[in-house]
Amino acid sequence: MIIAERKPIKEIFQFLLPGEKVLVLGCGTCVTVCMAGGEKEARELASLFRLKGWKSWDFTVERQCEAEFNLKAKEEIAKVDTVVSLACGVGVQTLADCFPEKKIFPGLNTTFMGMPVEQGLWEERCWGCGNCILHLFDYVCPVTRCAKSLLNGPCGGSKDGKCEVTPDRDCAWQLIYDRLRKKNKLETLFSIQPPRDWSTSRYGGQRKMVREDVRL
Amino acid sequence: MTKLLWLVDNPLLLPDFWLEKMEKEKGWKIEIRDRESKVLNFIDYDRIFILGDSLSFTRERLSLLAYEWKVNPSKIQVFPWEEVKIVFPQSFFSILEQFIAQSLAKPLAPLVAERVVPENKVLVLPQASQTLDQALKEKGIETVVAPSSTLRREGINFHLFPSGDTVGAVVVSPPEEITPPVSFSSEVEDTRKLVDLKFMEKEIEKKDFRGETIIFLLPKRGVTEKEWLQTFYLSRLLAKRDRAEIFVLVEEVLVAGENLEKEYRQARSCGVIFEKVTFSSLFAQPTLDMRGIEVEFTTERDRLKRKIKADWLVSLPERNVLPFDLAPFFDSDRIEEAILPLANPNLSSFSPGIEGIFVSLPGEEKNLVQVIEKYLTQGIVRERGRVEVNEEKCILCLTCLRTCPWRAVAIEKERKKTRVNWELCHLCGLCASFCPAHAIEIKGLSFEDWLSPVSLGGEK
Amino acid sequence: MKIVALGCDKSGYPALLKWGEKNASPFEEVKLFSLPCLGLLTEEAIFRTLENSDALLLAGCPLDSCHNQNGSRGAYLKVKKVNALLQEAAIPKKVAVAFVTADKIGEIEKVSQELFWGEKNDNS
Ligand code: SF4
Ligand code: SF4
Ligand code: SF4
Ligand code: SF4
Repeated sequence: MIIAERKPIKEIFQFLLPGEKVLVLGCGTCVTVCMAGGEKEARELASLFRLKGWKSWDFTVERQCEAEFNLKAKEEIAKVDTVVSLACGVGVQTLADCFPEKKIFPGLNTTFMGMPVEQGLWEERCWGCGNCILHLFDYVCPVTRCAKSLLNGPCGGSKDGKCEVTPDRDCAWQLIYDRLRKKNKLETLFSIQPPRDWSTSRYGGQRKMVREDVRL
Repeated sequence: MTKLLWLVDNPLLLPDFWLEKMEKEKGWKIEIRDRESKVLNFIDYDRIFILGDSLSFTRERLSLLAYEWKVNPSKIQVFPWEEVKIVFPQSFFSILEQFIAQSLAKPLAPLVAERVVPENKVLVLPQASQTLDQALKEKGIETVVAPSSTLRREGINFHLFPSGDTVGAVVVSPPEEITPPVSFSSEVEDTRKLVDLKFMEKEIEKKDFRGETIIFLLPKRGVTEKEWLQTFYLSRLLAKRDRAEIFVLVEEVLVAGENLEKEYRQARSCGVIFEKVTFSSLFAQPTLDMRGIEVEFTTERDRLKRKIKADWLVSLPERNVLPFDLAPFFDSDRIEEAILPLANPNLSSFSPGIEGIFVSLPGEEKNLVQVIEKYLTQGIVRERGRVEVNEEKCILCLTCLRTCPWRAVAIEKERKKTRVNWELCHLCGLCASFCPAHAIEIKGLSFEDWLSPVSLGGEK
Repeated sequence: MKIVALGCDKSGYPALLKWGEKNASPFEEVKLFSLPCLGLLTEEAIFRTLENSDALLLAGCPLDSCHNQNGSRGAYLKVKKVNALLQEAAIPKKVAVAFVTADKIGEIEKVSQELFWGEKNDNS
């Protein structure tokens, strides 16, 4: 799931002109689950705008990353000057394509793909590197969870099971080691991972997928 | 014509001229009764107002009244008369008029107050003491002794698996188990070196702990954010100011929270040692000179056994805690085991006074059994239909399930839809206020209702 | 300064009533409401209340003896968040929460004084 967080209020305010009418457009899927841009947050932000003196209200669509859903907000968007979109970056771009003449502001910072570890705590789990190798590391992704993306880890900085880069994160290699040891499969770590082809990741430029079998 | 009933403690408050005026102008036929008098038929009235003494009319009591009167609970309104009397006597009638108009304008929700009675059987976990057993037998309450590993809740009853028994209540006995996850022998307590956070906080201002060894013990669940902050702060101060040797033994460190991470890092950088241990393997005994406590534990990191002589052992203040591994049993019916939010700090292992769960203390068995008998025969009154999940809006984010303090939210297994068990719900509104999809509605109690309420203000 | 005061049925509201009775309020106008539990509050509700008032005073059970375990805590977290948002947005309004029991109202007096004098203290 995509995790995002709201931009600082000041940044959003700077984008809005005095006296404008503002629509806060929530997205009802990923960012609702991570409590950043669902209906609740959209209502909250709209009421804050009203408090600050803007004419503002809210609307939420199922998924802003699909044009069909965005068209449901057509009437609402027609009434305003500016839309503050509370979707991830994908959603904002789709929205902008649907309403090219409108001023649209991304209200969220899209942060990562991850999961809720517990109520109110989310952690990154996948980078979308395009070539999954989780099975080799007992399902702890070293690409994402190791700060240096080491495939032949650990580095020398692992201390107390914590990462030296951000000491409150677990060292991915400690986790891998612990889990493999529990399963008595430590020998898998003896095989050295060859250099990886990172072109399937972000370094190969924008990624695109064509599926001839589902294209009509 | 709208029929209204006012139950008042002083009939003189509402004079005839005003009643006539209301009938003529507004079409409200208002009847006045003394609060104590018996009204035979409450059903005919469009709204029932209770005037005065509003503090004693809590949600629970109103539900009970609605049940007794056989009316829709949302028809009953309490007018906070005391407040008007205090601050604004002149405009009493206009306020009253506004109040009635607003109550009438609100559409009635289809609510029913119902009494639900649990199965007349109790489960004793893990074992009944003799006195408790006898007391239960005397009252003719059938008991089941935990034969199974799984206990699920459906409505107000508990189902035992795999035996298939259904019980209405659970008694936790014996009470030894209701101490915090780590229990200490009396010898350890005799050293007077086993203290709680509060003690440390007081003592730290007066005493110098130079060169001493201090161990903090914090279990995984039931530690509040404040207590974490306190621990981080105290341990840091002790390590830095007094150069004491500090160990913090934990099952998990809570750093997700305001300032928590910062404080945690600061504590670590001052030399406080945080060690993950399994509390079940923790063992403490007094040192030979009885001046300290020897703590033995296995670290989770490298499974090494360590023995530390501590001058002070700081634990959490004592409180009622359910035996650690029993806590998940008391959840409401959930989708599957896997979705039990075990690592969720919002679900504490304390006994929160959930209906049907009793803790038996020694010497109190007789009284407890009376309470249990009353509960088993009378059950509880709840409002069906008050909390509703809008299934179209709900995105199954599980927030409600994780936040409900009464474990009243369930995800239906087959349909995969969120449902609030009205039998367990206490109308606290936490689920509704946290739901990111705005999918939960608490009818008649949501904030839209009180955002445009009567003005009671006007002092000074 | 016009404020709205909101208390939970269990302890906050009775305490607010007592506070009103003592006539110790420094405010021009206090609108008083009750809720079954402070857990019912949402950030949106707080903002919307502030549209028509200068401040909001909440009163609920003490954090560790809340009737609903986390109701007061929920309110506390929301108040913290809302105050941060208000400050970030430079809106001169404030929310405060007092944790009280029905017969101990000292906390309300303290919090209301802070609410009332808060702005002056900030400037100095
Ligand atoms: S717009 Fe972004 S947040 Fe919304 S559904 Fe699509 S991917 Fe998820
Ligand atoms: S290996 Fe790549 S695809 Fe697999 S989890 Fe890690 S980042 Fe994601
Ligand atoms: S919090 Fe709301 S959206 Fe999430 S599961 Fe519960 S009802 Fe559904
Ligand atoms: S209102 Fe409170 S008790 Fe009822 S389901 Fe929601 S969180 Fe649980």
